[in-house]
Amino acid sequence: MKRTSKTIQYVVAGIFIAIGMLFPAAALAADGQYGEGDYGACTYNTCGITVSSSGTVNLTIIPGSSATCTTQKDSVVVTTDASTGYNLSMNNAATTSSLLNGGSSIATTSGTQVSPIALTANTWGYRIDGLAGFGAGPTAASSNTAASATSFAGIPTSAQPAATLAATTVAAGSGETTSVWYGACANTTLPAGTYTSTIIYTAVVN
Amino acid sequence: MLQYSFAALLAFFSTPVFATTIQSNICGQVAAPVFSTQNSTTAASTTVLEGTTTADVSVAIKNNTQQVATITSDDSGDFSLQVSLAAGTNSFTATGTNDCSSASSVSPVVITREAPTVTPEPETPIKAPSSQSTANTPSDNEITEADTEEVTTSETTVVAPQTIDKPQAVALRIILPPGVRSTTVGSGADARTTVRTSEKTIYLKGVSAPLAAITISNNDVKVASLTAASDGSFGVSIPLSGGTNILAIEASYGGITTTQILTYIRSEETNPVFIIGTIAATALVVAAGATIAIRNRLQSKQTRP
Repeated sequence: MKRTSKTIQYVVAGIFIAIGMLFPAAALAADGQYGEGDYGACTYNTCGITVSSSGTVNLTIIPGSSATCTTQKDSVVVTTDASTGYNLSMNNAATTSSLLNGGSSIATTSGTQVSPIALTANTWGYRIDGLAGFGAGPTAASSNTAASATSFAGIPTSAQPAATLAATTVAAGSGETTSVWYGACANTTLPAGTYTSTIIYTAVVN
Repeated sequence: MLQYSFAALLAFFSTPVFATTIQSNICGQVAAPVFSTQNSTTAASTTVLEGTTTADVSVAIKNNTQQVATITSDDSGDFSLQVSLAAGTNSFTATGTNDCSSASSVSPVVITREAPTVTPEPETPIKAPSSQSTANTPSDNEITEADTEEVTTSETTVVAPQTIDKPQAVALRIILPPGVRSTTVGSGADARTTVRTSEKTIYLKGVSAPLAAITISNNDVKVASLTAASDGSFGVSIPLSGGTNILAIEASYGGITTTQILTYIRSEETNPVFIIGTIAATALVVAAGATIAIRNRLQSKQTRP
């Protein structure tokens, strides 16, 4: 008897959810009745937010016998009318964070945002000037230079908690840019080829 | 409660994400090409250049600063091609290039082409044919009427320009070395020849129009471009990948291009049983009306009547 009652509850809830998905406008209208807060330009669940970046980052390296490094930037732009700001995070699209080329790979560095470290041969990572333990910078684009003391952090896999890149508390109506620097180092032990990985940026309204 | 669930669902489906690709191109440093061909002097109009550089890189060949060919080194780094020789000094250099670096040969190979020595022929008095000689059956040492048509005289032959209504094809013939096992389906321009080999690199030879531009692609990737010699001959080493290599050989001259397709199937070991299977398969094509020619040797002998 008890089980039957619970089953009915589940069925009814399922029907309501289905109706809500079919008629979102109705759902919004219903929300409006509870939407006490009008936070500036938008109500809490109607705030618009978009995220984009400058696209593929190419880290071309002509390795030498010791670590040779290349650093390039990706500009991530978040636009939102939410007066509470947004949270931008990233992680890898795959369950590995290595740059892959068939059976060969470039491992992500073991550094973290709190304790980033300098890249060594056949590792890669990211940094954001001024964030957490990265230091002020400024980082500059460079190609085929010797390994430097500039510190980087590893990219979390899809199974790990995303790394927060930016957290704001005000609206970014005209778009706010976060410069994410990617670096990779290689030596001649690494087989030649194209190593790739896909990064997912996620932006949510606070 | 439910309304908050809707809001959560909407928020979930409307969370913006953006994917970007991080790509690291690790390039091998190209080794400066080194010629194994020695400096020499010759009277020939062509020679074969051979050398070594990094594996699978594009190699541009220059003769006295003028680029004459671009080929691809094989997976051992070797390259070779036939080049034309101009009269005098021919100083060949090579530059290997990959996606992000290049290196030029340190030492050129110098081939000096000497003008052929012309020995004046002794003047032979022309005798009127006697009635006796024409009545006799010609022996091997006598000149027949048919032979006289092929004798080159010292006079310059002027050929009147012909009116060409529509473009003609550029001559193009691929010469397979003796002993190559090949299968040819079709004839003429539609002929498709398949060669089975275990070699990682083949030396492709052919004959086209003199100074025709020759371009060779392997599975739609250009692997060589060169110029045929003044006698129309050309030759270049072509690296083969495992499996099917569809070579498209293009000969262009005067805005006209002729293309021949030559398929190489590379396996580590040629298996006789596999060859038998191929012959059985082509028998089905015969039933459909196609022309099949299975040749052990492509070279044929011409016999004079």
